[in-house]
Amino acid sequence: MTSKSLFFKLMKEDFKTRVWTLAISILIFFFSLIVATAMMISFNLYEGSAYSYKADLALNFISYIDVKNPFFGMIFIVLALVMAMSGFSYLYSKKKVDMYHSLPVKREVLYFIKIINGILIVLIPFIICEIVASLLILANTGEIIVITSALWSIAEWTLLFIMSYFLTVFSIMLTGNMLIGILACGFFSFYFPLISLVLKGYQSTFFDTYYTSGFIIENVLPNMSSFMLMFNIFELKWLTRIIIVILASIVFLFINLFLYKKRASEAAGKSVSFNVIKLPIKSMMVIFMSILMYLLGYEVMNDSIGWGLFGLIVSGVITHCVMEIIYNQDFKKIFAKKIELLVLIIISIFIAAAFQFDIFGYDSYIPSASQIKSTAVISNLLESNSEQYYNKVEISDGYYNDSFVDVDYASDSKIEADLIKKMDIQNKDAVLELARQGIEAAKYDLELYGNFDKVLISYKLKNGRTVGRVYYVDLDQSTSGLSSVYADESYKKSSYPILSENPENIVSVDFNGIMDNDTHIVFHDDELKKKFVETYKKELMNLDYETKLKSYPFASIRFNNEFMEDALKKYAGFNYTSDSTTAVNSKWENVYANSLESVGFYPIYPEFKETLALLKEMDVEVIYKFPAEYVESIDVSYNDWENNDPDNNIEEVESYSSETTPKTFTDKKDIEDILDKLVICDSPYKENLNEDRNYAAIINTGNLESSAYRGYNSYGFKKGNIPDIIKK
Amino acid sequence: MIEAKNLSKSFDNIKALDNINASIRDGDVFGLIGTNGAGKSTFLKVLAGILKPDSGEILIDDENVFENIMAKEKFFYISDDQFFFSNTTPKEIIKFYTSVYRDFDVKKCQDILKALDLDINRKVNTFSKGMKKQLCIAIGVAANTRYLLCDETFDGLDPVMRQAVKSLFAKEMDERGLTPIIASHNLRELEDICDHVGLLHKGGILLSKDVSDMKLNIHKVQCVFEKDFDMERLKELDIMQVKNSGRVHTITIKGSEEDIREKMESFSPVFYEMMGLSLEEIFISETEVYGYDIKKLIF
Repeated sequence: MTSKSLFFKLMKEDFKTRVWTLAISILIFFFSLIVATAMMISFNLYEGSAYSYKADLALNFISYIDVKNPFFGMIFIVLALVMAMSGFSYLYSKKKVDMYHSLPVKREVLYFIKIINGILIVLIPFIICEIVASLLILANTGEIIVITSALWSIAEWTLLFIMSYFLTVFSIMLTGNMLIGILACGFFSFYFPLISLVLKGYQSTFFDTYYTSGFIIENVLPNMSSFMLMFNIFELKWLTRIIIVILASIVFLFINLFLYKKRASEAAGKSVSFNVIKLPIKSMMVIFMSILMYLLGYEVMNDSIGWGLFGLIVSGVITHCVMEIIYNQDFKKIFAKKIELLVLIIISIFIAAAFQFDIFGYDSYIPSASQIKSTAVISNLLESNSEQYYNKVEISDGYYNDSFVDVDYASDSKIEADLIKKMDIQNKDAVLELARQGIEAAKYDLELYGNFDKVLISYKLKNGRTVGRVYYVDLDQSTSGLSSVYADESYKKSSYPILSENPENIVSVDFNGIMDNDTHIVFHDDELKKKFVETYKKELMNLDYETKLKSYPFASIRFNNEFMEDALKKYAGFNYTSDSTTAVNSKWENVYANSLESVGFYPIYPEFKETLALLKEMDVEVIYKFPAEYVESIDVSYNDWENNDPDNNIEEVESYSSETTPKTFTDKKDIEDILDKLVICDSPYKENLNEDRNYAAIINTGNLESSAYRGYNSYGFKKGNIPDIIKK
Repeated sequence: MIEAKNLSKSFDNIKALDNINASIRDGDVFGLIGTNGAGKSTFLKVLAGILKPDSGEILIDDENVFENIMAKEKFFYISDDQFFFSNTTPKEIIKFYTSVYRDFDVKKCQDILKALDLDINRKVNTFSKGMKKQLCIAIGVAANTRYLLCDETFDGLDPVMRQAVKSLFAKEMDERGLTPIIASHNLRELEDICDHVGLLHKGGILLSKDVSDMKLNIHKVQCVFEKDFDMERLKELDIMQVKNSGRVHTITIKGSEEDIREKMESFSPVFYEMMGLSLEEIFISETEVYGYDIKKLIF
């Protein structure tokens, strides 16, 4: 008998013993794919009677079978467990092990028979059912894309299932009985993501300057689990995820084979099949539970170290006891290995203390200038409108040949991550000074009435690491540092994408200013376009921090490329009818200038004289101040922050509630005085840098259509620029 | 030939096999005797390549057994509690083993099962313990391997079936030189089948001898002497044990049958008769030499 025929004969025999798993697999995929698809078709036929439902049905099906669908993720996780248990659970029974290992069959042959059968039992029904389902959709829609999508989905789910299956087999190889095997699956599925959460919890709780936990805690640990990988993998690019899954599968295929060959037959029935892993696993569990309960005890009981320690010790002891009972399969061994318990508790206390008392100096960390390659600084004190340049416009096709224009809003974390990546500030001394001020400020409680904000500093070190810290700095104390950073070319270029934009790509601009004098200008003259864009770039690049502190952007401007112009056209067409334009100008396209206001607007300061002159040349009506003739009255209220210390609050007075009854100014001269100094940032680019937080003003107009000027928006004054009339 | 050289195996802190040396000749029936926990099953599992020895080696025809397919093809292992796939019939089990053992004789297996009155289409989980043992033996014999490793295989068989199995073994030994290696805690089970017996105790082999050698060297004589016979003369014999019942003496004597008869003739007894010793009696006598009370070890 050749070994090849022995292999296939044994495969057939093994398959017979696992035929029940095939039944489960067929049932699951029959219902989840064929029946679900049939239901989808019926549902769409009914719902779509009024319009062409075919594209919708095809899209629904594609999204249903896609790797992003957690429903199939769960199915494959369950099937991986069933297949691994049905194939290798014989390792848990002495009787079965005796039979299998006495046969004249090499262990690797047995291993591959079990592995291959497990894969085929799941994948054959899956592939057949998915192809049948996609053919059903194809027959109903005629969309050939469903077939290619189904093939792609088959490939991706196949790889994900195989990886999950191998990781489950890994748990079985390390354990000696089924219950412990299932617990081990849970351990390997959740331990690393949970430890990453706990470590993040420690950092955010105990470190004042915590920003992110670093690549390992943020990216590696949460994905060291087939369970989490199954649900998160689609976030990666397709090639990356395929490479990761294939590599992980190959690695675990051979690790499992190695363990299988090394595994002693007498391990059957024991809790763990390799004694050498007992202590590491127990240590991981005890330390994890101890530090978790320390954090919970500390947080729940109002920052109580005593309760934290109580939680740490109690949970550490209980976890150790449970682990010893499991290892020895004997309750009487509950207090075995007391020295190990003591050492683990001490290690846990040390870990908790390291975070609690910042033993390793996380908060005081500052690299030396020689270690730094470059830095990045992100703060609202420098630029508070970054989302304007990260929010993305999306155009998608809809029914009746219409298009939807929508905005994909960028998250703060995404913006920060991208800015950190792009920014290469070389003025290390200014950044380090800013960091020192931040560290100093962290030692004291922030003053409620201060003008402070978050400053994120990221150091790109020469050793390849990127380290980030978040400080809260007071604007008044850190002006020089912020000013130096703002003057940096790299800071400007990474913060304002327009500075790196080729004017040739621009087709139009949107001007949006006070009193809704919004204008959409399409360039027909390339020379003028180039001149205008370059002028704006020059003035934005030359804008210094001191100007930002004392002045304010009274208007905004957006530079549109072809895509944006098209999006605006579609957006305005979709949202407005010809008789509902809000543009004051008669030109219909001016509605573009107040459309999609969360995307792409840059500031225009009164100091941008050349830009403003060019705008005038282009017939844009620029209004610098709110016209007093439209104002009926201005309400000004005063916040007494300094005399409202929340620490001294008595119960009946809420903090932040010291706003006085507004004083109303109706005299024309008073109104003009106030408007002269009032900061009005009503265009999409808004900034309230260096405003005096003690005063707030509300403009009440008569019959202006815009709600913004009818008493709904509150405005402020720059520090040191309070009109005398108000001070009185 | 099977050889164990300095074989040791421990489970955690328990030494199951302690430096065992033994050899099993082809064509003999090797009986492995010992109390529960003596190491019989461990020895067989190491021999079957299920367990890896901590030290020493076990060789079949000079080849190491562990993870050696060539060596493993030479034996069939029947455990004391054989595993059968759930919901299977003897027919399906035969099919499974046919795919594993290249010389598996399906017809022989079916014939044996028929002779043992076992239905090949009946679910194995409806079989009694004894029937399962019979099924194992039938499969083991039909595998046509040179060695058959039986762990407590006779336990659970009724006397008639035991006899039938013994006959089956005898036939296979005669026809193709099968070498059964039988582990048991019951000496009486092996009495009339073993050619060679190894006594395991606390993981070590206490003795390993041919039964025929033992039987040739030890005899029991029942005799009646004249009233005036000087019993001191019996010291001329290598007496192991004397039991008296009135004037009838039952004496266990070491030595060849010829020498013992010659001496007995010289004593001019009223009557004497040479009697056969059971394996149990031989063991009692042999192990006493080592200072062990065999009754505590085996019975």
